[in-house]
Amino acid sequence: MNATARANQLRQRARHLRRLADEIETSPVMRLDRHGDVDTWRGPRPDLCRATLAHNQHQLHAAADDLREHAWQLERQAEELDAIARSQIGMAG
Amino acid sequence: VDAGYDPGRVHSLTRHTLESIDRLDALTSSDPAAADALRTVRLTRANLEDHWMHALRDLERSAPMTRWRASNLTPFGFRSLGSMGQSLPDHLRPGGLSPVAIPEKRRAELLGQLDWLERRAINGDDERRVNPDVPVSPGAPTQQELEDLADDIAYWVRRDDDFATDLVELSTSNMTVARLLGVGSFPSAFSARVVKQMAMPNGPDSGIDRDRYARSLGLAVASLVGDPGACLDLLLDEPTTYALAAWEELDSTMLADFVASGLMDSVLADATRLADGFEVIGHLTLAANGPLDDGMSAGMARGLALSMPVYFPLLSGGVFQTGDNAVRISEHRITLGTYDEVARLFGSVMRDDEAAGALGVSLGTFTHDELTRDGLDLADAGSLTDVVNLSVLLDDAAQTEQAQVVMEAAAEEARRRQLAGWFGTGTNIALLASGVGAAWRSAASAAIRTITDGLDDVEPARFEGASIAARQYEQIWRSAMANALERPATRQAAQRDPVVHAQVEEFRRRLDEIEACDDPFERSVLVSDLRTATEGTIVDDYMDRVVASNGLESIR
Repeated sequence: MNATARANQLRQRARHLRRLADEIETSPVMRLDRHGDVDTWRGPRPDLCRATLAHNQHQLHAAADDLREHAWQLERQAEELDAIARSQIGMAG
Repeated sequence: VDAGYDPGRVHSLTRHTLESIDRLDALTSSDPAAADALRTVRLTRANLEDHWMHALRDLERSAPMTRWRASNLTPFGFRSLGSMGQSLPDHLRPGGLSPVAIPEKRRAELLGQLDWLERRAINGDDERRVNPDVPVSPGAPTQQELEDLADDIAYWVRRDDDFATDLVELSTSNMTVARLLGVGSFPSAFSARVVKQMAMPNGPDSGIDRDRYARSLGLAVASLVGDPGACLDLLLDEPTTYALAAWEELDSTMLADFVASGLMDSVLADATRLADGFEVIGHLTLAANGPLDDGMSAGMARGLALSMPVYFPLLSGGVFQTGDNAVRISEHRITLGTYDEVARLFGSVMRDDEAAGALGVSLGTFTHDELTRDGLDLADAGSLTDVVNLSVLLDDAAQTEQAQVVMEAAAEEARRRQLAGWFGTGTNIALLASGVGAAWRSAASAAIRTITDGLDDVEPARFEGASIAARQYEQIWRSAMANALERPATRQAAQRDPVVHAQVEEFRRRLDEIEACDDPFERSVLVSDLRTATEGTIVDDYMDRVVASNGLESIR
């Protein structure tokens, strides 16, 4: 696989990771706390459920951030590969 | 406790939770860079299923929710926890029995029979005092008579609250009430009320036969063992727990089963009850630092100690500093007490040999789980801090050499019987099959009995200087040594250098010998020799880092 094809593949992966990050952050679980607040149920067990959910939501946000960070790195690698491809073309020319 | 729910909103929440689970299920990716994110997604999904849906299904099954769905009513505001309780299975009126007042004539008849059986039981006991060789006194009530009366009374207890209340009050003067609980099928809520009524610190001070009273209370307590949630609810009642912990004449086996059912089985069946269990331990910590500073009933001590595999993972994480610093269970915002107070609680537990043995077994189980944790690198700073801190706490708690000996020997026996590994790392304990607690306790109790029964035969020199912390050090050191020998750096060096190769092979052989050694005294000598032999070799640097990273010197 040449450098340009490899760069395209990396950009495709980056787009996929960004889309996954968006899907995670827009999934219904990120809004579940609004439906399960103290007006809905209260007591030690609901408190534990809410605490677990808040922790998981935090982890999911962090996971989405990581995915975007990965995507950014893949795009940087793609740019480097593009630069290599351009220089190879220049040398060949 | 402020608790309640809005049926309409709970119903809507259930739908939203199911939708969330479905959408999380749909998130997939074959990209390796997404592996961590998908792991978090799966964890969240599992928590929604384990915690949210578990709790919501319980609510959805309750009678108020069933009625609400049937009536199609719009949300009608909060229901009290009491009304939720009435709707739970095995509560006062299970199976939708409508309340009916017992006819006066029937009431008098049943109370008359109860009084008659009680008199015969007292006479029977008196006869047995005169002639203890007679297995069953001729005048005492027969099993069939007790079962028949229990059936009749249980029927009316479910339907008539006032009749149930009268019986609860009668239970402190008529011991047959509690005895019936063991032969009939009574709602747990009723049995719990009887225990609450009968439980008094150091027993009744009236003219009542204290032995009979203690036996009856033991039967009432035992009748609840099959309902772990009810046992924990009752343990949350501070005066009852204190009374059961204070009265030493209570049957220790029955009480230990009741306490372990409440503290361990209820949490294994429903992980959300862990906070309630810690609250009970907090109450006992207070008592152990006040009225129970001379020790607690053997049954309470044994039940508490046998339940510790469920609590050690979070408890150990709450131990940071000694002295007046708080031991805090941050996950549940509960402070058990200061380090010294919690140490005194365990010190109080260890006064009973079997309970000390149970603590040793529980610590061994916890340590094994920590040492076999996925992704553990012993050379990482603080990777075993929890194990070390808990070991120091229990070491400080042991006020006598005998307690140390029993703990160490029981932990050793548990290792021999492979009792560790039953509870995983303490996470997702709700997923464990029900009954695992009782099975583990049965196996643990057999190991403990082997030790306590043979305690008189132990040569004092054999366990001289015994220390649970030192044993922990040894166990961690052996695990670290096994890791050191399998590290890529060690393997590569062994491939390059024949001298290193020979050393590593020799260390492996000696480690196998140590693992196969069943004698703790001999084993500690072998460990000590191997430790000396490894100095200045290829594994020395790694072993030094493990010791330094985890503060192992503090328990050596």
